[in-house]
Amino acid sequence: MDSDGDHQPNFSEVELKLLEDFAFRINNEVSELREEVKQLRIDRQLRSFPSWLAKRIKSKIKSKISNRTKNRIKLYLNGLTKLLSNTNRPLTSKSSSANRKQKNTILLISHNYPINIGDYGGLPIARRIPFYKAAGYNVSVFVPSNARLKEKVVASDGTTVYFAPLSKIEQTAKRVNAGQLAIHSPTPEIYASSKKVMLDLSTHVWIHGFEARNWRELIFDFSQEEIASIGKQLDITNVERQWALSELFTNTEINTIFVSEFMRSVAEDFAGNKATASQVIHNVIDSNLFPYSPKSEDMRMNICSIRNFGKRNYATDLMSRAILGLSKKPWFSELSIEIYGDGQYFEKDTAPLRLFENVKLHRRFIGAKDLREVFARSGIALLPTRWDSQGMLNGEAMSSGVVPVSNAVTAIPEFISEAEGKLADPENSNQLAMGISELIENSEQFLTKSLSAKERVEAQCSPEKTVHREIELFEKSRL
Amino acid sequence: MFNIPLAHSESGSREILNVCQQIMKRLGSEITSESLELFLKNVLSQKRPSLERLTFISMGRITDPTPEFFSSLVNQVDTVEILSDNSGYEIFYNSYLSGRSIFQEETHHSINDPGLITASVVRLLKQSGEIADTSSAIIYRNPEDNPVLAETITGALNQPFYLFFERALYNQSILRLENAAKKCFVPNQETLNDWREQHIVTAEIGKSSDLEVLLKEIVEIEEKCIEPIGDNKLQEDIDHRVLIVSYFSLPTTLVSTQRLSYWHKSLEEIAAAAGVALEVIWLSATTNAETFPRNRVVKDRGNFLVSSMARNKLAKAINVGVPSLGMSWSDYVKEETKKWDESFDTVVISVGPFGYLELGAYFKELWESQIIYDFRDPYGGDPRMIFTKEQRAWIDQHEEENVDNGDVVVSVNQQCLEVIAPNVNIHRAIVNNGFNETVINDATNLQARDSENSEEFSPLEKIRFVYCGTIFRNLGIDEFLNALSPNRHNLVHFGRDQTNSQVLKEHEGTEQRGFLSDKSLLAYEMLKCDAGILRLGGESTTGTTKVFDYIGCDLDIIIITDGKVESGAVHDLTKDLEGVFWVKNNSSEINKFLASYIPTRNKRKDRNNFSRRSQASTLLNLILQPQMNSEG
Repeated sequence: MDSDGDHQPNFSEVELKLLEDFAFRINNEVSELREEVKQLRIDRQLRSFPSWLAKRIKSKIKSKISNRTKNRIKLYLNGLTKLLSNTNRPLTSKSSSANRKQKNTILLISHNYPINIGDYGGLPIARRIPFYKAAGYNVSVFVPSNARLKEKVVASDGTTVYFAPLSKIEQTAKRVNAGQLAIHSPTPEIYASSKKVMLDLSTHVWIHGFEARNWRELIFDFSQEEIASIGKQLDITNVERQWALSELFTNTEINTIFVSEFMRSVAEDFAGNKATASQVIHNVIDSNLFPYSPKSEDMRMNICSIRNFGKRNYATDLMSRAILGLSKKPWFSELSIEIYGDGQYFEKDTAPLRLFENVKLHRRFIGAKDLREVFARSGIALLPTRWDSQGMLNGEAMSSGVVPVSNAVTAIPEFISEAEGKLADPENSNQLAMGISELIENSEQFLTKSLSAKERVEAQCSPEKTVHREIELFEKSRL
Repeated sequence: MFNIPLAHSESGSREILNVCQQIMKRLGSEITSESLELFLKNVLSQKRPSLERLTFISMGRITDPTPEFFSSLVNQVDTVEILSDNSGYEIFYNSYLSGRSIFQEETHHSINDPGLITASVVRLLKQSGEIADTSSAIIYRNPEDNPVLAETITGALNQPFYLFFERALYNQSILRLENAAKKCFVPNQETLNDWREQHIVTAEIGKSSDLEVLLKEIVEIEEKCIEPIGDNKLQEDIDHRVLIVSYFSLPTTLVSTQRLSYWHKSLEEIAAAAGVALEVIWLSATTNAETFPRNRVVKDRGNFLVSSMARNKLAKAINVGVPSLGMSWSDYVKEETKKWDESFDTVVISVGPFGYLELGAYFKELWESQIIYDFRDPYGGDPRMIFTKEQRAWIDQHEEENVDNGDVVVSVNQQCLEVIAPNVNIHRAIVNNGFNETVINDATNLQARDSENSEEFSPLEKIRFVYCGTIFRNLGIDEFLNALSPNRHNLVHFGRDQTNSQVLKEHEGTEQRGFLSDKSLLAYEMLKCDAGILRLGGESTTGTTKVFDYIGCDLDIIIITDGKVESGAVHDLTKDLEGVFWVKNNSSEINKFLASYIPTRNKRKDRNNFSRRSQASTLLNLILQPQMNSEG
C-alpha cells in the first residue's frame, strides 16, 4: 500500500518480465510504424516534387530575367487572354452563363467502371449516369490507373472514361471542362490528388464501404499468413484513411453522401468526426432495368444465387451450407437452383453441391441483361452476406418481385424486413435454409412477400428517392 | 478418508461406477468403466500421488469432467480455458481444492499478445497459491492451436508439462515445446504416423480425457533429480571436467544427438585408458534428458521471458529474419549456470541450431574454460541455406564474433572447417562421427551366432541394398528405385521418407521398414546387405553419418549424386577406400551401373580408423591439449 492507501498490484517476477517484454515489443512496433508513416509522408512529398520544382524554377527564372522581358511577356499574355476570353472561360469564373453550362459537366472519379456489357466492377456508379444525362448533365469518368494502355475509352453506355494516374486529375478536369466533381469511395491518394481541384469545383463525395471502415471488421477475408505479412501495412492504411475522411467530413464545402444510415454510422465512427454537410442517399435500383413481373406460386421453387466467390464477406460458404440444409427436405428435388459467380472459393464452396442435379452452377459473372432474366424466372434469391453497406443485388431482386433471403447483418435490415424477405442471424446457414423452407411450404407467404419486396424497393430506392436527390445537389451547386 | 471395508466397497462401488459411466456418456464423455474403476481404486487407496497441484490448460472449452475427477485425487486442480474470437481472447479460470470449486474468474483480452495473455494466466493461477512452491504438473490440450502462447505459458509456469495434440502440426514453436515437454500425446494411430514423419520426440497415443493415461503419468511424476551441487561435491580425484552443451539431447530422435551421446558415454572411458580421470556432463534443453545420468537440463522457456539484455539481440535477429532457435535458451543457460557452484575445464559447444554460440564467451569468462566449438554443419557458409544479403551479413558477423572467443573449432570434414568463420585465426580439427563399434561388434557377433545355428546356409542370390536415414524432400531416390530389377535386386529403407515416394511403396523389390530406434537391430539388418546407398545434392560440404555405418558394416558404398562425381567431403573421406561407387542421378547412368555391379563383400583394412572411438580419441586429445601443454 502506498501512503495514499491505494492498493498497488503486486506483480511476480515472471509477470513483470512478461509485461516488460510486451512494452518493449510494442515500443518497437510503434517506432517501426512511425517510421513507415514518415516514409509515406516523404513519398507523398516526393510525388508533388515536380510541381514544387516547377514553381521553384519559375521563381528563379523570374528573378533572372530583365524587367523589359517581363513586360513583354505580360503584354503578350494579356493579349492572349483577351483573345481567348471570348471563347473560353477560366475554370474559376463563377458568374456567367458559360459558367453555368460548365457546371453541367461532371467529372466523376471512381475506382472502376464497366466498359463492356457484362463487366461487373463499377456497376453501382454506372447505374446513376443515365439519370444524370437525362437531367442534362455531361458526365466524364476518371478511373485512376497506371497500367492502362489506352487513356480514353468510350464505354458501352456511351460514357467517356479516362484511365490515367492520379496526378492527371487536374488536367482531365480542365480537359473535360468540369464544373463539378463527384468522387466515389475517396481514398487518401484520391483525396490528396483532388484537393486542388476541389478548391475550384463544387465537390460531392460518396461513401460506399471499404474506404471508411477498419479492415479488421472484415478480418474473415484474410488468412493468418496474410494478416501476419500485411496486417501492419493495412493498419497504416487505416490511419491514412481516417485522416483523409476526417478532413473531408469537416469540410463544409463538400457534400458527403452515405449510401445507408449504417454506412454513415460506421464511417463517422471510423473517421472520428461527424460529417457536417451530409445526407443518406441509397444507390438507385432502376425498375426499368429490373422490372417487376408478378410471380406465380410455382415460381417459389426457382431459387437463384448470384455471388462473388472471391471474398468471405459474400458468404458463399453459408450459401452452400444452406442449400445442403435444404437438400434434406422431401421437396428438395423439385427445386430449381441456379448459382452464378466466380472467385477463389468457387470450387471449394460449390463442390458439395455438384451431386445435386437440380443445382446448376455457372462459373461466371453476369451483366444486367442476364441478371434481369435470372430474376424474371426466379422466385427466391439466396444472397447471404457478412458485410454490406446496402446490398444492391437484394434491391434488384426485390424490384423484380424476387423474395430475398439474407443475413441480418450490417446494413441489410435497413433495406429488408420480415415483411419483404427472410433474414437469418449472422453466420447461420440453418436459418437461411429455414427461411427458404417457410417460403416453399407457404405459398401465400411467398406471394405476399414478393409484392411487398417490390413495393419496399420502390418506396426506398427508386430514382425519385435516390439519384434525383443527387441531381438536386448538383442543381444547388450550379446556383 | 473412507472407512468402508474393501469387500463392501467393491460391490457398492461397482454400482456407483455404472451410474457414473451412464452420466458421463450422457455428457458426451468417452470414459470407459475400466478407467473409472482404476480411478476409484486410486481414490480409495491410502497412497496418494506426491503431486500437489494439477493444472489443465486448454485452447477451447473443457467439456469432459476429467479435472473434477482429479480434484478428488490431487489436492488442488485448476482449469484454464482459453477461447479466441475476432475480438480477442476469453480466459475462464476455475480452481478446485480437495474436490470443491473454490474460485472462479473470467477475463477478456482484446490485445492478441502471447506475453500479455500469459501474464493474465499466471495472475489467475496465483490467486490460489504460488505454483513454484508446490509440486505441480500441467496438462496442456491442443497446444498446436497457438504454439507460441503454449510455450510462453509453460515457460512462465516452469513446471513439468504434458502436451495433448489433436493434430501433428510442426513448426519451430512446436519443436521447442516438444523438446521441453515431459511427454507428448496424439489421439490415434493415424496422427501418430503423421507425427513420426517430422517430429523429433516420440509421442504416445492418448487423450487428456482418458483417466487411465493421466493416472499413469501422475503416479510416475517424481521430483526432478538434480545432481547435488555443493562446496564439497567437487570430486577431488577428477583431473578434468568437460561440459558438452547442445540444444537437443537424447531421447530425441535426431541423428545429431548420436555423435554427442557417444562422446558423453565414451570419453571418460577412453581418457581412463590413458590414465586421465575425466568427467563429462551434458547440458541441453531436452527435458527428458534429466532422466539420464550426468545430464543437466535448462528448459527453453520461449522468447517472452528472456532478460532485458537478451531481448534486444533477439528482437534484432527476429527482425532480420535469421534463424533464432537457441538464442532465448542461451539466456536461460546463463541465468541458471551462474548459480552453479562448480566449474568446467573444457566446454564443448555443439551447434546447429546456432543461437547459443555466445555461450562460448560466457563460459570462458565464468570459468576460464577452454572452448571447443563443434560445428556439425556450416553456419553462414552453408551452401544449402538461402539468405538475403542482410541476413548473411548478420550471420557472418555472429559467427565470426563468437568463434573468435573459442579455442578450437571441430567439424566433420575439411570443407566445413574452411567455411566456418574463415577470417578467424583458430585451431581447427576434423572430428568425424564414425561408426559405433560397440553396436556393430555386438550385431556382428549376433549374426555370426545366428549363421552357426541355422541348419541351412542359403547364399543370397539377390543384391541387397540398404538406405539408412531420411530420404529428404529434395533428394529422392526414385531414379535408382525404378532401375532396380525385382529378380536381381532388393532395397530396404530404414527411416523417414519426406518424398512420400509411390515407387518406394509399390516396387516389388523394395521394403520400407520405417524408423528403427534400436541401433543394434539396425546394424544387424545392415549386416545382411551388400551395399549402402548415399544420396548427395552436390554440395561439397555435405557429409553424412551413415557412410560410417556402412563402413562399419563392411558394405559397399554407392553414392548417387546430383553434382560432380568423386568430389566434396564424402570423396575426401572415402577416396582411399575400396568398394566405393559414384553414380550420377539419372536413369541411364544408374542403369549402366546396376547392369555391371557386383558386390565386393570385403572387410576394409582401415576400417577401424572410421570408428567413433578413433574419432573420439582425436577429440580427447584436443580437450586435454591445454593440460598436456601445461604439464609438458
